[in-house]
Amino acid sequence: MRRQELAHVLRAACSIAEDRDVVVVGSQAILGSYDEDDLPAIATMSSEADVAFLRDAERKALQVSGAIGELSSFHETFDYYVDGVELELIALPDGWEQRCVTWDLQSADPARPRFVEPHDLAVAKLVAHREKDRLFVSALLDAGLIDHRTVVERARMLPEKYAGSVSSVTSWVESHRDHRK
Amino acid sequence: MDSRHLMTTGEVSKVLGSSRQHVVDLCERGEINFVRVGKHRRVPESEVLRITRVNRPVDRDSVRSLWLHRVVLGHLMQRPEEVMESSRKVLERRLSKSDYPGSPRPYYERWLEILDSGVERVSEVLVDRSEEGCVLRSCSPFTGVISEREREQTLQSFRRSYS
Repeated sequence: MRRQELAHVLRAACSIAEDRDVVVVGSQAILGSYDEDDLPAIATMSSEADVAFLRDAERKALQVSGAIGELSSFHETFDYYVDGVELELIALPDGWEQRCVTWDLQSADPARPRFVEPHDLAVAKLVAHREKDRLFVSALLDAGLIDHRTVVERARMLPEKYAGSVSSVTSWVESHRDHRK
Repeated sequence: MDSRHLMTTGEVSKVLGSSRQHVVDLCERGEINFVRVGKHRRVPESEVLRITRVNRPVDRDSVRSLWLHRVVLGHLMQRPEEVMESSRKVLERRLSKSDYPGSPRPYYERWLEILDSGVERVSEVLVDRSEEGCVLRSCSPFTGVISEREREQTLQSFRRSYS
């Protein structure tokens, strides 16, 4: 997905939820910080944008996924789709809200999107720890778009309920760094 | 080791939807076992299966996707020629406008290979719970196969089961 496609998705999602304040949380959140031309190919290959709303989150997530989600007519027309998610189900380090990145892309109007900051995004991905998540983080590290030290620091800021994941995330990052030396 | 079961890093990268360099990196970090044939790395096919086909607990969104694709499977069983043809057209259209770096092109090409393998293989992938199955469904070419009403009913029944 490219920035203009994400802007389209955000316009549509905000219109359906009747809420301008939306947070992009999945891999496409990286487009808040970097243009697609500056990203490794694997970072933008997803056809799905995960978005969350701060108010009345569950209802709006269902509404958005129902209207423009997977296999919808929106998906059929544009070849990409939206998945409404709830923030409480995502492993984000404490203070992530203050570190969110904003966008001044006019084509997203009336959406006022915020994007999870890349290091926070990397931690969320490494807690999920699917192959595609590891490849995504690995590509960002290799491209120098995020750094090992900050990812480890952020992993240590995960809420208590993710305490069991901190050591596996830090081990993975340190192993990646050691290989790069 | 039987060389017929060894894959090049390029072949593995195609399966994983990543670059060849990343496969090399995964090998060097010990995340993928490999052997050397001369100067080249070769990855046992079993190793690729281990990575992509391990049945692991899938997240709620992946299960919802699975439910939707089970409905697609019903249509595939009832009218295979029509569903195969329409998904092929979707892929051809997508491929014609996916000629840029970072496009989902590798996934679309993988789906075309699966379609070329026939209805049986497609029906397996539609309900495959492995990571590869989940990733492929997220780039599904089966848009337009199920009606909006079927989709809505499926999402509702999924929510009732997973509430």
